[in-house]
Amino acid sequence: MPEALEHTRPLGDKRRAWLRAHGDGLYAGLRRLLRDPFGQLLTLGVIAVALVLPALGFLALDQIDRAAVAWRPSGDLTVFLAAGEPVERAIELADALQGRPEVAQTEVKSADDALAELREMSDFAEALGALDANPMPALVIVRLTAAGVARLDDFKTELAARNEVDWVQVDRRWLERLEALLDLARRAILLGAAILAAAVLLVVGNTIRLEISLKREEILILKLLGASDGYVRRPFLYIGAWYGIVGGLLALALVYAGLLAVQPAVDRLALSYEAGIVLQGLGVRGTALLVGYGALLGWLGAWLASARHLRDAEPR
Amino acid sequence: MSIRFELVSKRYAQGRDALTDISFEIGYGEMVYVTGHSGAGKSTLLKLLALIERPSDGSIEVFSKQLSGIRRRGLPAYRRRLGLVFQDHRLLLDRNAFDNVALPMRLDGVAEAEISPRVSQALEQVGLGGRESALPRELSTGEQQRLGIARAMVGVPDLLLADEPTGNLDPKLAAEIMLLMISLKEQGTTVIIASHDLPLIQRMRKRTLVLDGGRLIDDFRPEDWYAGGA
Repeated sequence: MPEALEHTRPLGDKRRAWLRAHGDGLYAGLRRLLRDPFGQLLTLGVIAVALVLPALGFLALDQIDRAAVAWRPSGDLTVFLAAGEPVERAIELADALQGRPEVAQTEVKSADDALAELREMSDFAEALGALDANPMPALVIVRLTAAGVARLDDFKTELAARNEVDWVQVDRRWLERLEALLDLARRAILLGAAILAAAVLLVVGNTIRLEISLKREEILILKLLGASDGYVRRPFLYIGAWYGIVGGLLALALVYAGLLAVQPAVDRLALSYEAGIVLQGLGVRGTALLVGYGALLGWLGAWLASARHLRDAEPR
Repeated sequence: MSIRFELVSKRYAQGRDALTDISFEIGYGEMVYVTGHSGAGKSTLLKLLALIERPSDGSIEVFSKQLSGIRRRGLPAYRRRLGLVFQDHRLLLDRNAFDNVALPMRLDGVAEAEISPRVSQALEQVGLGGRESALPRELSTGEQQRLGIARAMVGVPDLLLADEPTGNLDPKLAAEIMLLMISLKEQGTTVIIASHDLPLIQRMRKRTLVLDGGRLIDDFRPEDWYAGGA
């Protein structure tokens, strides 16, 4: 006789049932979306726009950062070697730095080159000519990547600690201005992305609320038969996630359409700076992030809506 | 005791008294009919046992557990121990007969390898063998009723609650369904059937609770039937 109401099933059975329920939910969510894809265009469009705007913003920042590396009037760091160090040491140092993620480009100047440049740029040509020996050391001009700019102080200290290096000069004003501008833009884009994410949550939440009202009878039956809240909620979460994934893929298509549209204008601009610029896409990591972010937003919107509305659906 | 009602009353928000001071006990593996006119309180009594409604007064104990102690979070586990047959079938319309019947076992985490033969057997027992892939809309009302019964019985629940389970069935099929419920009772399930089909109840000669206007007015035991009490 059943003395207690709690029955137990083997853990393996439960795990398999749980996996099956997830598989069913995943499939049912996709089926729901495919049943009427055009009916869902408004929702998918809002999600795509909400994803594409921050994606384009971050892409633009990335492009600016890349372009800035090419257009900077001088290097970010000038590494002066100790007096008497031969130019070969400068070349070795430049080669070693070239493989570092902080470094975009290096340029070596021998002591003679440096002296010649100084003569051209200053009014001390005569005075310099009177010197017996060249006072200039060999030097390496280092252009930094965004990662390098981010850890500029550490990187400078690291370089200055090398035996062959006398001192390191930073073109800090340019870097700080650029970094401040990029940071401001980054924050503005993040704020915009947060506002758009809230819009996605509302749109997905409203769509799921409608789904729940359409499926109310089925939900009541499931609850009567002993379905847990998690079981009942699962298909709606997957519907939300699918909305986010498909919205993310649409956003991806819009990003590439946008890049194609602005490439001619960028080419003209680049020509005036005598620099060739090819706009970079999102890449594998960026694509995965965009689609994953969409899925997460869809899932979260569905979770919020289902938590609120499934509680109200109780059999009577 | 399997079930104990103690001075249970149910008053709906509109002020209507559906049940008043109901007390009775039902043993493990017992089969009990609840009968009475429409509005007598039969369905309300089953709803209280399924925790679809809560009593206004009194206490209900099922398998040594006070139902008042089961909160929202504990409802699914409790309901998975029940088999429910509804007057209006309550089938999932977009799932076929097999999936409808398999649902309680899937909710209970039963392995698929075990589900398949048990669902086929349950469908066979209610006369729906070979109709596994039929959707509910492709079945007659009587077949839908039998599908609902198969779903309630397939997991061999601890407590089967059936609200007019034979309402849409012809007398021969109704008797067969009752025999199935008796076989379930013999496996240890406590069976409670709300029905106003008096001829059928008389034929089955089981314990019968008689409700009238929300009050328990009679409690016929099997021995009363054999003594010619009804």
